Amino acid sequence: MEIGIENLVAFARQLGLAVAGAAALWAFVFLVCSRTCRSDTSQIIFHWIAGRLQWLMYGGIVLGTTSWLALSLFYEVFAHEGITLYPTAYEVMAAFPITAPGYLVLLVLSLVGLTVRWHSPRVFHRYALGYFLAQFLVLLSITSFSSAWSGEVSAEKAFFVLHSVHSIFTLGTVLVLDFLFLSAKSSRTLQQHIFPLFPWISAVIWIGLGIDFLSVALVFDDAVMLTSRFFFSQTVVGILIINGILLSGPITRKILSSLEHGFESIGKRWLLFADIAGTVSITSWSAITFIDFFPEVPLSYVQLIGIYLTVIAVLFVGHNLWERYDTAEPRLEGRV
Amino acid sequence: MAYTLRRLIQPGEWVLIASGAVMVVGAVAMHIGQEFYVEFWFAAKVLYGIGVVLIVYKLFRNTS
Repeated sequence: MEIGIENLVAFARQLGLAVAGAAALWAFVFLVCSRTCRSDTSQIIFHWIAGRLQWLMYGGIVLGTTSWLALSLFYEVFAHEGITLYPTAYEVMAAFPITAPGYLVLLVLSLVGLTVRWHSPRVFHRYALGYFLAQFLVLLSITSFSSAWSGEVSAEKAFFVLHSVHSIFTLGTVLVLDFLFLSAKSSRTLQQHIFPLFPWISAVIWIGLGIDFLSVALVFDDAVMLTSRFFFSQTVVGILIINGILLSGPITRKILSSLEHGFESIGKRWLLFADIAGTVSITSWSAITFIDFFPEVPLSYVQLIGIYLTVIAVLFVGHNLWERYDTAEPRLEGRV
Repeated sequence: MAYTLRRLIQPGEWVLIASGAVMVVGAVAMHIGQEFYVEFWFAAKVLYGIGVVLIVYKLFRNTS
């Protein structure tokens, strides 16, 4: 199987930026929630969540930045549906100087943020809202122009920008959602505060996927290639839509209903559905983003589906092990 | 069974499920036929758009 190292690094860069952007966005949103809610408990919990998301953001920044540094000049951009478009060498090279200042600002912001948080948590707390917003905006601009830049406005360029940006709202936000779900599983207090926000987070994911569909529609005539990769991507996108609806709709409503009725048990069958749906969701988003970066996968449709199902099974086991050992609770001092 | 499903899943969600189903069926059909059926592609995307609008509308309506 031909997997060039540059493809893996490009995937790592996209994954890192998407996770970091989504974590910064949702840390900002949770801080806004904490400042607008009246209950002390809610304020503390939303601060705690923002604090947890902060580490996810730094993880994404480290992954995205190191991958960007390691990338060669060999770039390619692919849509989530297995549709393929290649930016020119000029566009690829032009993206380097355009995004370099953004990466520099990102690193400086992160170092300043970490230093201030370490030495003076109160000062960090005071400026945390602006800090996460700034991080998100920098990540958004980097992600927009990370794959190609030519300075001109066209449908193809709009495709590159929209296709890159949407991963913050889809893959990144899905990973944040699962991170929140796992973090809250061991605490009913956390569940009471976090789970009611899931329908809104899911709506952002649906809108993000809609942005990708729109971007593909812009370049539709030039982009379709009938490969096993295309058929596989189409299948996985269909599965993740159905699975996502079941997860964000009936399953989330069932959990919310049980929380409203004094933590009445939702039953093992529903919990199993939730676990499977969460695993399918993460695997599907990762799979379509991963395969974006491998235009010439020498595997048949059936083989790709087989690998996809195997990964779901492996992650399902890992997911359950995490639940068994992660028992983190929010610290009541409420520091970010 | 049909009643339970109707009770559990909202209209906007049904539309998105239909969109996903069209996408999966279309992909399998295209894989077998080795041909691009543009009708599947557009039908799925139109359904998707309608479904998302319905879901977001419902969220706002429940909040306000």
